[in-house]
Amino acid sequence: MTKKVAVLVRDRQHEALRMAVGLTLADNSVSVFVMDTRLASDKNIEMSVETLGDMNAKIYSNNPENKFTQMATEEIAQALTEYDIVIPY
Amino acid sequence: MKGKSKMILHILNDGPTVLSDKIIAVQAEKSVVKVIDLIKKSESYENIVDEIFFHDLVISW
Amino acid sequence: MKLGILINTDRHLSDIIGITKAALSKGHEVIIFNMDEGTRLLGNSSFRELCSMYGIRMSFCDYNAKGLGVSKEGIPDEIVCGSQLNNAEMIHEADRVIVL
Repeated sequence: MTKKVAVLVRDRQHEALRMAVGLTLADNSVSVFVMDTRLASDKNIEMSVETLGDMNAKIYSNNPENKFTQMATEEIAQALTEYDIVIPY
Repeated sequence: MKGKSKMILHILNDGPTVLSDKIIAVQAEKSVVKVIDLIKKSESYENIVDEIFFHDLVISW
Repeated sequence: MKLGILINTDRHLSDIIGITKAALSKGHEVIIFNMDEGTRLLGNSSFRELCSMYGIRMSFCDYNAKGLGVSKEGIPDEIVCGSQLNNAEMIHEADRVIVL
């Protein structure tokens, strides 16, 4: 059965996103929540974001500087309760 | 009929943060939330394991 | 039941050992995956010794270990030198996952 996994991206953005990409290698439905900080813009980050899109992972953020689907922190907090696994990174 | 509240365990590895505090506070409005602060050493590891499997969802900070 | 432990720092060794031993003593299975700064614990003998306990499986991200210059000397064969696939499988398989 597919597992719903949420990854919260905090300070270690590169590794959090690389891990999120990796999680799609098994039968996991992955969502990424970029929390508070603006996502760095470099090749590795861009590649991870692109790959996550290719793997149908959804990316959300509570920071309007990030051009992903916007959710307030309160909405994210409630949304997390619907996941099987939550990984703050 | 009202559904069963979700049981959520938050494990604080390095104490609370602004973000963990906010997420916990919001979730506590609709779910049953328990917080274990590992730094405080207030629970035995045996109890922590029991709590991990007792709760529906575990979030480590 | 199965407990997954994602280890991405090297700051919580006593908690890792304590929770792992408690879970195993209660008859649970434990799956450990080390990545990022967590691969530094591979150099710690107390951590490595966990792999000999009944009911545990351990693996680590080779990419991180190489990147951080973690020596693989002395790492038992039971600790699988792997990739993010091992993490993906652990997350999928475990009933609960904690991050330390």
